[in-house]
Amino acid sequence: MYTITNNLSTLLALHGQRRLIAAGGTLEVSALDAYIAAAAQAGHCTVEADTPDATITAVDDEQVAFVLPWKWPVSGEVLVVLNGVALASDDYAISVDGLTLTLDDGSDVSEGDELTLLLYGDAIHGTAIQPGTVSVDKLDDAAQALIGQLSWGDQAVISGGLKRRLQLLDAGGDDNLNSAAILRVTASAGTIAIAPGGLGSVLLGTGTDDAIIQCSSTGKCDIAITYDGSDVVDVVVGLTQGSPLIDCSLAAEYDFGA
Amino acid sequence: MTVAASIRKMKEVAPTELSTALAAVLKVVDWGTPGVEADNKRAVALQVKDLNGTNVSEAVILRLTSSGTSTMALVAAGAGTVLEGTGTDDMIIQTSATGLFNLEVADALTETVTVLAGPTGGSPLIDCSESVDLAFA
Repeated sequence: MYTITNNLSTLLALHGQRRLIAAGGTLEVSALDAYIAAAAQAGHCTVEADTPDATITAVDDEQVAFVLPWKWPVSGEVLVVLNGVALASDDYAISVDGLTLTLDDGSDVSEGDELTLLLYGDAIHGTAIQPGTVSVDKLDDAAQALIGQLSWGDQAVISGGLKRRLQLLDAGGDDNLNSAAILRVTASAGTIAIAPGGLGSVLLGTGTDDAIIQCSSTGKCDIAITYDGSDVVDVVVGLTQGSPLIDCSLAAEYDFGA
Repeated sequence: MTVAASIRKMKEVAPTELSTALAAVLKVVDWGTPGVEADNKRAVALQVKDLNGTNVSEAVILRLTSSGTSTMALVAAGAGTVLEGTGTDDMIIQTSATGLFNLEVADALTETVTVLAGPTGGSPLIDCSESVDLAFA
């Protein structure tokens, strides 16, 4: 059995069970389903396995394929019981991904029959995090904020030059990185300054082609380039004294020929 | 592990859950509490840690710069090595094998000196956003 606890302050509907759980309430179910898994993944409920077993009910006569309520520990100590009788190990097979139980064609299964899945002790694992599977999206906000990256806004014309907004993003690239990061900015030509009324500040080297800048607390810096030529000025950002971890591999072009 | 613990939603893995090896890849500069001023000098320990706050077990090369009229050096018999620039405001240092460097900052003026660490040639991935301020009277 599994105990499902509603973590919400409202009713939680478990469509697969055709049941509602009151705020903070619990519900015991014999098997997990996709709705419970989705609710648990969203943090809406907590799932605790009270006993290491689950029951699957056949929905068709001579049914041979059954979706397992958990990722089956293929190499674990497991047993399948059909209507109270344990099956021989060669009477069934588990798919490589551990998610499907297939009975031999000769299995005499009728609609409504119950297959009990027995697991022993530590054999119940659910889906553990496997090596090489944790993507950046799985990291929480704090972890994603550990490694920033650059993004550049469109260039705009200002008096005497061009400006672009440097915006720091988190590792996932979906959220702004709210960091008053110190960075080094170098330009291939022209001079660097903060655009009039812009965010960020130049700590050192304003009016040169090599400046130390500090972003605003929201990770923004409006970098202006003054240049009297009519070609492209390349601007690169790098780490320096006081810098956090930022991937600075994205350069910007200020196109004075446009 | 319960089923609940094994089902991980998006954006749930915290820095503390990273493996020890991964946490050690991303390092952080941590400054200790500065010592009191004596003979126009103050000592402060720089400790390199991993993301989980554990001292690293390797020597790390960093660049240190200090503001004002200050100069820097290694505390006598302190941990770490100055590779270049001792007695100046811009040093390349190497920590001890446990990530420790005992810094000594000297300044004859009454001012607050800010010391920054930063990555340089030979540095690992390290967050150097924490600085230390030293007031001289």
